[in-house]
Amino acid sequence: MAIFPFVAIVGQEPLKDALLMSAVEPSIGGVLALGDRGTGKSTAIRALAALLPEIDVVRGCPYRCLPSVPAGLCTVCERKDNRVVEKMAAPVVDLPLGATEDRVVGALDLERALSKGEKRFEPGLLARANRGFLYIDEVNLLDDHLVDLLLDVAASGENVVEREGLSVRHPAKFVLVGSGNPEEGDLRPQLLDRFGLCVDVRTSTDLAERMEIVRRRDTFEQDPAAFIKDWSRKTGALRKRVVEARARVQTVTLPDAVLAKAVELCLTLGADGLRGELTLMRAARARAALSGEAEVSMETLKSVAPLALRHRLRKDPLDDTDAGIRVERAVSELFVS
Amino acid sequence: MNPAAAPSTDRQANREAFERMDAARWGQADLAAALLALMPLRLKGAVFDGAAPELAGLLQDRLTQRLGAGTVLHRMPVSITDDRLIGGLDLAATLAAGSPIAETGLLARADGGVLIVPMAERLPGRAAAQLARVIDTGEVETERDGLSLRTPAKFVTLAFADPDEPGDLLPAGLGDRLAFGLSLHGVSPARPRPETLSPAIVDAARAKLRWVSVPNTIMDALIDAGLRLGIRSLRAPAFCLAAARGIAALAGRDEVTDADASLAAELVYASRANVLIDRSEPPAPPEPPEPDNENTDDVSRPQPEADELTELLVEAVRVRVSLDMAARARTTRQRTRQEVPTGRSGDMVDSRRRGSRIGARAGDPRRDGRLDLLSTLRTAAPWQRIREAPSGGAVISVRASDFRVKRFRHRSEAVVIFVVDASGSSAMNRLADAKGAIELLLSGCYSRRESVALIAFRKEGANLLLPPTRSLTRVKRSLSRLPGGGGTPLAAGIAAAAQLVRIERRKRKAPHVVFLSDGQGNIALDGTPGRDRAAEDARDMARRLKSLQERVLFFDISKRPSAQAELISTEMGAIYRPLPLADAARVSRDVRSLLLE
Repeated sequence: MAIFPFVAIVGQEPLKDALLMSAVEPSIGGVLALGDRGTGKSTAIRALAALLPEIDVVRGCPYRCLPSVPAGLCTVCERKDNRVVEKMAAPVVDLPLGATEDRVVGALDLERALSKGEKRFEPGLLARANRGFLYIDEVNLLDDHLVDLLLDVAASGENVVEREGLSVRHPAKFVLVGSGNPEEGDLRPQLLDRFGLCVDVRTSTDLAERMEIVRRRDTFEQDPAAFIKDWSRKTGALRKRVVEARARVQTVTLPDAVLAKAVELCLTLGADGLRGELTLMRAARARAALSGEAEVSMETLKSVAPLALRHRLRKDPLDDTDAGIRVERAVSELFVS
Repeated sequence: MNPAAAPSTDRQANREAFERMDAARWGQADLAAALLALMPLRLKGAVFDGAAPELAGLLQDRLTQRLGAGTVLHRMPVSITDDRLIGGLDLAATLAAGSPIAETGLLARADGGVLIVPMAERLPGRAAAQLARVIDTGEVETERDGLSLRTPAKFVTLAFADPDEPGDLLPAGLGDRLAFGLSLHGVSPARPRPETLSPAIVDAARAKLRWVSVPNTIMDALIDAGLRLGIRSLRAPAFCLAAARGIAALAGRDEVTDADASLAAELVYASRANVLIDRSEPPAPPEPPEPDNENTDDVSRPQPEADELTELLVEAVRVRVSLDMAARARTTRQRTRQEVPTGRSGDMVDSRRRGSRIGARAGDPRRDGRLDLLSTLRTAAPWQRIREAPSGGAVISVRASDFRVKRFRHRSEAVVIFVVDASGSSAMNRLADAKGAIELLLSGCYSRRESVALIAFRKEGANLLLPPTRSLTRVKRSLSRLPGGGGTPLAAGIAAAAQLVRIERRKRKAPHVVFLSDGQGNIALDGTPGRDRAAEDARDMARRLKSLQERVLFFDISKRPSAQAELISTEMGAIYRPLPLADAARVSRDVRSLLLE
């Protein structure tokens, strides 16, 4: 099935930014996209797959091991003497609703066990998502225990399986992306703040923008291949930007003054714990790297603050103010002085 | 018509108007079915509200004929389980063969055909989300029971709904993905329906479709009209454009006309319109557009003629919506009159076998619930080499210690239905109380997963102000402006509660009812004033509620506890609590301690 190009998506800048920052700096800790129906949340995330640069993997490795870093290899690749390297598309795994736990974490290979009496591990979706993205649409409809499990693995970067007499651990570093509509049931707060960035996705009510969106969609549906081709140059340019930002992100510096502001901002907002500060800094670095800057400016910090903090504020059930607005208000107060 | 009798009666004119309307409404449904056959992959499907079974059958037949010979048709029961829907392990075949054999689910089997969803309003959110995803991607991904499969699944979805309460016909995420939503309330099943759009016409249109163009003014007007009708989703205008193209193609034109656009807008927008259909109150015009940036040159601002057309489109949709609402009101009134009280509908299931599956554990299936065959096999598998070959020709040796039983989430989800007296002068206080209690309940504990609903009764009847929801966001949005004042139709309030209890129970929820009332009705069930009839009706309805055997909590909100309130509370088998002073915190606390724990 043809995928609508990422670069042709009109509007939705915060969501696109959050996804790109995560592609540059996976340790930001995932993206949660909340908001209206029909806003193209899924479109954006599925489009990301076609945008991301290819990755080097060890041929035949079910966990898509990175050949150049011997420390992170799985147990199979460790034992291999000559590891053949090949390229593959960066994985963006779409977690189907109704997936059972055994397929998510991996389980005993039933066929082998029954026919040959052999105890073999059959890797699951977590293995497939290693070094890529794992997407859960309608995260509020997924069973709680599965969501908790996914968040745990996403945070530790390793999948530990202890079941049916198997004892397996394998690398599972991925960016968790969740989407949901709060009108169909709020998310548990303890789940909310375990995502690095949170985006409030709204449909545009600007007529010109809506017209452009519908027109592009219409052109795409009429002839997907031609449409993708028309946008291929821009896709290539953005891909190059991601590659360059990845190379640069570790060297982006964070001036003390900016760091101090970040800490102050978290304190003012009562954004609990260290997680907020860490995410804020990592996101700011990724943002700076994407725009080709060598150090994080105050502007960059300001621009990522709503994404990184809006879901970490202490919740007052009777306060209706939108969390994003509260963050922006605090930002503007702090940065004036 | 007989010219001699024609001018004499209004009735005749009425009848003719009704017949024209009937034919027009059926015509639209039939057109929708033709458009779906014409462009199944772009338009995805339709939901029909209140269609008589004969009409539903006819629509299915027409659609399959137009799609071509050999089109398969599958029905999706609302109670379908995950393994039947998206596939899984074929247990019988797996056991016979001794190696895993996959079984395709319903969605994969519907590929290239038609999927029928009867009673779609009862479709659980999870099944709806699964269907929605397959509609988006055109394939089923099965990641279950050790299987990992991708199967193509492109089909047309026809959903039929007939909800007891007006409201969403389908779980919202699914409804938005189907192009058309049409009401067939009151459309006669008995009248002959000649086929005007034959399969041959559809085939001819299919060949033409590629060459149909949409003038820019029409495209702009369609998009603008969607926004003015309060439709935020961007799928809707895209469907509208495609449908307009299809309508032109069916008529043999190669350019879309204003009339095509208007018809397309009715088919797509009417079921989605959010703006109140009140003629006296024109919709708020959209924000004045900002000046063009240079990079949006090609997006021309709507010209005057486009504006005019937009008005026309919006008006056409509004007329459609008000006609549909009137037709729905007529048919549902007829139905409620015939309704008889029913008892528990036999949906109580042993709690060991109820709720959603959360895993497996060791146990005896005869005692502890349903056998989880797959886990059992997994447990037995590693031992096959060691154990003796089973006797009697079996392939696998399974022992009692291998048995695994499914674990279910025991508690079914609770729904707290608040029924609030919104009549008279103190209405606002009571509503504020109820609203406060609802918000406290919802914000207090997320992990419990309770939902709440609010019914208010005032003037002539009861209204469901808040359909069952868990979302605090939604509560705040829908309760921000509550109407109050007028007479006290207590009986209607109790009746509405009883009805909602039944609806929720069918969805396998555990409903509880909380009344905030002084127990003194003065409006009878049919909306006429009078204390005696009102009190009698209220008692009848209370007994009916009691027969449903759900837990009910009655807060007497009169200044001094009244005998009448206590009496009605006893009639409905409720726990009685006087509440002379407004106190949302206490209501929420009592609800939690008396009903939920």
